[in-house]
Amino acid sequence: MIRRVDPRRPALITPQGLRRIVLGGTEGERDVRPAGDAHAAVRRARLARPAASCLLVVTHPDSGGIDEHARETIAAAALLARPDEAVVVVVPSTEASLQLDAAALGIDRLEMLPHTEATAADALVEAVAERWRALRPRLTLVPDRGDDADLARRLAVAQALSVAAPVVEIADGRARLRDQGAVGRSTGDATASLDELDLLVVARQVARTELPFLGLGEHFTLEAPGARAMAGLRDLGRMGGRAQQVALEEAEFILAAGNGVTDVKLFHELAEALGAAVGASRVAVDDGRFPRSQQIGATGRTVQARGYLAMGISGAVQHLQGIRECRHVMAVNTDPAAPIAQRSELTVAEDVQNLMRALLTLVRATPEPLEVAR
Amino acid sequence: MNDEVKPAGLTVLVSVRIDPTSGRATRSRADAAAVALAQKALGDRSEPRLCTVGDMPESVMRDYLAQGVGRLVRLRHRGDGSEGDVVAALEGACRDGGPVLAGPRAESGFGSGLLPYALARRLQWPVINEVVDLLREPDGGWRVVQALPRGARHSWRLERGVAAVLVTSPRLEQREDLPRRYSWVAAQAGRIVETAVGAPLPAEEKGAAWNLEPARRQRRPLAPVSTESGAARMARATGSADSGRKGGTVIREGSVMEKAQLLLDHLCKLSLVRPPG
Repeated sequence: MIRRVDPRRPALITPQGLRRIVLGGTEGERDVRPAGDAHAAVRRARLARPAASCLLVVTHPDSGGIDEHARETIAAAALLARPDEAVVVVVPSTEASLQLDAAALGIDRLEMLPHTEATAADALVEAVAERWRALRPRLTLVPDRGDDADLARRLAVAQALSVAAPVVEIADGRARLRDQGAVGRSTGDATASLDELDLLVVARQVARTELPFLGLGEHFTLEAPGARAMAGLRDLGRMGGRAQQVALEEAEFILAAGNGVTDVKLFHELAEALGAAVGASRVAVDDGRFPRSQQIGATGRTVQARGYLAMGISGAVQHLQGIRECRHVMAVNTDPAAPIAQRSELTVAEDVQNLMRALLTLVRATPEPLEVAR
Repeated sequence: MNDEVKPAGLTVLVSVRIDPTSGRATRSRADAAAVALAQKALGDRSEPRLCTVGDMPESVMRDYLAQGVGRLVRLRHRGDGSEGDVVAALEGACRDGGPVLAGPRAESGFGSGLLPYALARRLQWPVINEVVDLLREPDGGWRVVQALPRGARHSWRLERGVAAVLVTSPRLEQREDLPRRYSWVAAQAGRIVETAVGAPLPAEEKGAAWNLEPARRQRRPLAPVSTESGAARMARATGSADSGRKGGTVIREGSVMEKAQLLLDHLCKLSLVRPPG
């Protein structure tokens, strides 16, 4: 006789939120749980009581949102925070609105610092330094990229902070840097205790972004710093880059071609009209329709575009790896059941050539493509 | 000190790079690119002043001189090599030399990239980071071009007689119109000037104690202690549980034009394409 396992045997939910089966027990719920809803619902706020102190994160938004690097930095702060420490995030932003779910990122207090393009870097740093003096955070974390890296270093010298930059690992209460060696000293690592540090300028992949808890997600808006010109330094303005000349890794919007794209000339015209950078899947590159440098995927490049429009790409796993960090993925494919449809937020089931022609007609009707000037 | 270099020149801070594979000291690629940029900006009339602090093997100094520069100043300070000493030593050397070009971060040591900011703070000069181009204006001022993400550029004008610390961009190394000269004759003919700098003031410095250790092969990201069940972890790893991966809307109905219009509306909503009108 084969003993069968009863799929509806009773299970208890423990105080830790774990499902526990007591053999031979008759108490508990008897329903079959659908796989996967496991603990998505039980995320609770991390801060149970009012915060006594805080950890500070300073980050600039990236085209209206918070990018992966900043998310990792905020997650690192949330994981480092003690039970009575809040995570305060100061976001200097030129845009009024920011699309973001602060609580889900583990942010307890989000402070928007409005400023304009004309605000001098010094004035902005002074405003952030003022917040720093008011909050007195145990640690300040800043992602090591672009404007944030600049702001962090200005803040460090202005406040004479003890700095670790760039931090590649935080473990056991210590921050780890890469030591590139010196004359007579070979390369290695260097670590210092977090107690002795004030400011961590963190590199990529220092923390995982999936958090088991929520932040409080309170929003505040700080007073805008006054525009102050630096003596002898005149701003001559900005000039937008051309999307086709930008490296794929830092493109904002990518139009990618797969096996479905046979009319390459039309595809390039559409990319030009949309102001998008051009990428391709491995099949299209192997076919010789696109250069190897434009290949996206496991053997090609990994891209972090904000928008990714896949034309005639079925979405092999290797290709999906390459677009893992893209924020908004859209697809056009004859087969709406292709794997790319699982990844994309909008899938159009249509022949690619016809749709490209229609889209080009519509875009040409609009005045001009978006100049990516950011 | 030097008569042929006019006060409105450029100073370039140069440093050592330790090759991660061979462990040999070489010239830093970022600094070599900064020297090339300074030479291009100054033209044939004058040459940039090269300046370094602390230990630099002579072979590396000759590598910098090989780019066609006549002399290199090495400052020797009496401190213990902390950042405060280095900044104090550089302050005197840079004060009268016009704008200072520095690499984004050192290619030896920790490479924190703080030195240019500390120097600017001490000199009370502005800092411009991510510099990819430097052009001389007819009236003696400078035009500084800053590289922003996604190929955008931001231009600044430094008025005549105003100096700033210019931190070069990592993109500067990739510029193909900045040839790195290497002339053996120039390397041998160039002069290395050793200058001793007086003892710096014993500044009260707040700094962490750094432990040097052998490199660890694998970095572990900071992660929460997992309380979820094994089944949930397995489901997450295989992607079958993630509700975010269930796919978005699929448009099947309608003519080609209607579908294209819906797609374009979506792109406009994400502000990837400017809406019509």
